[in-house]
Amino acid sequence: MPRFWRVLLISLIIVLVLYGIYFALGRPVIPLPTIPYKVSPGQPLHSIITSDGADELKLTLNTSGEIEITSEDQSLAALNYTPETFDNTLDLGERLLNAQKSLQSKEDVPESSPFLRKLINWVIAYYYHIIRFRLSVLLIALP
Amino acid sequence: MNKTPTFIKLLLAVILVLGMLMVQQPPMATAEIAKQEIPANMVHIDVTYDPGTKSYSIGGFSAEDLRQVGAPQFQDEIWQVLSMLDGATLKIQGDTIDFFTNDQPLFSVAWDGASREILYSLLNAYIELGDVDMERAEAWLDKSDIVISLRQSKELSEPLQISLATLLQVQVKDNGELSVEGFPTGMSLTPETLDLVNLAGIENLKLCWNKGVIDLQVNGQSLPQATLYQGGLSVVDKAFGLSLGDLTPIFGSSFGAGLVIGEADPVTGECLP
Repeated sequence: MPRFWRVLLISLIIVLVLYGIYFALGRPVIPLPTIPYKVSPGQPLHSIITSDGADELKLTLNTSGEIEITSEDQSLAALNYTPETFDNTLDLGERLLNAQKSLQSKEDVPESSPFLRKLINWVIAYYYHIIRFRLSVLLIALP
Repeated sequence: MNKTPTFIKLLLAVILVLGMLMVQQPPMATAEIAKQEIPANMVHIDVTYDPGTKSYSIGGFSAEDLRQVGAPQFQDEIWQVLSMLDGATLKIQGDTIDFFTNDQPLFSVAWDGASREILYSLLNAYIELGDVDMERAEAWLDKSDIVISLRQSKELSEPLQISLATLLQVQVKDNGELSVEGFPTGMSLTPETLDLVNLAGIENLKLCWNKGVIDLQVNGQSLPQATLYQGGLSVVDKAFGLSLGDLTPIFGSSFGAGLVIGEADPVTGECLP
């Protein structure tokens, strides 16, 4: 067998074995490092971040279907989604946006690319069903 | 040459094992959900009053909270009557209405289907808001559990307990007028909002609030479930100076509404926790 095919097969086996272990463990959420984002006074978010005295707000996206806002480990609000409800939201958002544009310009607004919609849905479904990540953004209010 | 078949065998074995692993789903809960009883509409309202200061509190809202939303002040005659009572309780449970004063039963009235029909006839005869929709009235009152208690006390009343399974039917007419359960509210959507909703093809909404958990359906399609925490709303309240007051009664309640735009069919179903 040529070396190329042998390397490819070995890589494939390693990937499959690793995913098998990940799957057998129940597809746990893989935490990614938290991204800090500093918010200056005067920005719209600043008053919200500072309102409870913590001066920090954490936005967490869990691709297994949860978006959560926390402040000092206390949950403020959460959103639970599935690929289906996410698609419904996109659909509603698109229709409202098109309706608004249509009202403003009094012309028909062309529909968005079906391929783009499908691509977004595939990405959401992939990170919901196959590999799950947790991505956090820590909003820090500057004094 | 000998190594090639070994690789293929190994690959096949791994794929086979992983394939079996993936196909083998955890055993699904096949137990049937126990058939629930027809959901009841439960409303428990506690009212405390103090004839000395002529103030009252309803459902966990203080006299100050009530004053801010324009709650009326009672006349002296009413306070005189109230000062003679230690408390009074009205209970509508099952097929009877019971009324107690100072913890003693005062009267009991039948509250079955036939007696409710008499009440609807009386309402139709004496109230000029249009005929009572018997089907809707029965959806609200059949299997209802309503308790209203008045207590002479300086304490804050107990938080409101509302658990309504029946959807409040809200209709937006073609001209934007809003009606609730067939009764006009005097409010209406602006022409811009109505145009936006019509152009977006929104025909109906179903909104359920269950102690902070919000389920929303638009044209029968579910949107992501949102959960609001009381602490979180306080943060928004402080940030924007909304003066929302004590929201404990709202966060202890569950209710829902079905909104229909134009002449579409009413939203069906209930809001179940």
